[in-house]
Amino acid sequence: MSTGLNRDRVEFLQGTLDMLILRTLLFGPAHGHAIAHAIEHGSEEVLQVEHGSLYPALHRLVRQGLLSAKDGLSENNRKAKFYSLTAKGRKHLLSETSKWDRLSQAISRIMRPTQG
Amino acid sequence: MDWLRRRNRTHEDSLSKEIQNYLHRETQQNLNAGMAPSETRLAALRKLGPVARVMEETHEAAAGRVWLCLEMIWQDVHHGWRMFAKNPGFTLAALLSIALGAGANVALFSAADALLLRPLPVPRPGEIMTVGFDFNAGDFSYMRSSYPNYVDLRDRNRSFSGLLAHYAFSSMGFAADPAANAHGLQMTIRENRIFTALATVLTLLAVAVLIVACANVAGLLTSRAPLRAREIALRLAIGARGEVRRAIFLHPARLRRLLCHSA
Repeated sequence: MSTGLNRDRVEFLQGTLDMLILRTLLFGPAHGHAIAHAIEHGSEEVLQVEHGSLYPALHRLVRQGLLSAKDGLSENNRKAKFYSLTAKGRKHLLSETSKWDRLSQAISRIMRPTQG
Repeated sequence: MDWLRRRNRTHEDSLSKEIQNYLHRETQQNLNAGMAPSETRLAALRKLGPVARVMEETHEAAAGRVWLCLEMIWQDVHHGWRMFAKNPGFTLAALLSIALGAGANVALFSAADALLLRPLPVPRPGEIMTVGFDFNAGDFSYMRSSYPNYVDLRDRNRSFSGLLAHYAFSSMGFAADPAANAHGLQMTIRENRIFTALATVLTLLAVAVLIVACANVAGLLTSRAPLRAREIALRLAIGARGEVRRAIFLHPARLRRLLCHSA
């Protein structure tokens, strides 16, 4: 929102956001604020969502058993809710990743046939 | 349903803390990045999006569909109770109407049930016969007997093991051999159906009473429509379309439930 790259702003599909959250948590537990910034920075600010839309996704993933949430203390000794991958979440991420790989390869073969 | 409210409040508190935590971190980060202190909090709020919507959507996502449905029903019921409490006169009138209708119905149906549907409380109900002289009054034929005839029949007949006279519908009941007939007299023996006509009348009456009671409550609800127009318009305007529709259809159902509780 702040960088004004509205043309490049990718509207998230719900499943894509779920996948990105799971991927971010592969490195270890994190709270909502950290996850939001990890996704934003990791995509070089191209993927911009209202950070608020992250929370429904996080809570849905907890309900589905793909994430677990636990209260803990963050680096500056502030209470925060930490999310981490469950075994089921890890498995789900794996299958989503391979699905994504196949999809993106297929699309790029069509879009840039010469570089195939 | 108190546990439901308690559960929701706990969730809401926890979610609210989570959001506040986000805002705190984002504000701090903006400050560290050199933003003017007066801007930091606002920028954080912009980054998050509308707090109320975030809370609402997160709550929905966390709850799941079944739970949301339960919650919706609970909200409706709750709203209904509040409306009842706010309009005690209307509530009383509606309750009384349904109570009278239902009560009359129960009475009539239990009478019909006892008379028509259950066999008479004797060992062989099939052997009970009605005996009398046929009288035709237009379309309607009935049986009756004078007292002297009854006494004669009671003392002299060999077909029935016993005999009694009763006043209602001027007929006589017997317990006897069903194949028998009464010689000499022009008598009619019929299966015992004295109560059939009565029961039919009762059932029709019961249905009529119920319809009247329902129409009454419908009238009451309709008469209140103009009074509620403002409330409904307001609720529609703030986006409670589904809630309003449910309220209109569920209101009568709730009246009935209230009646069941108070009965």
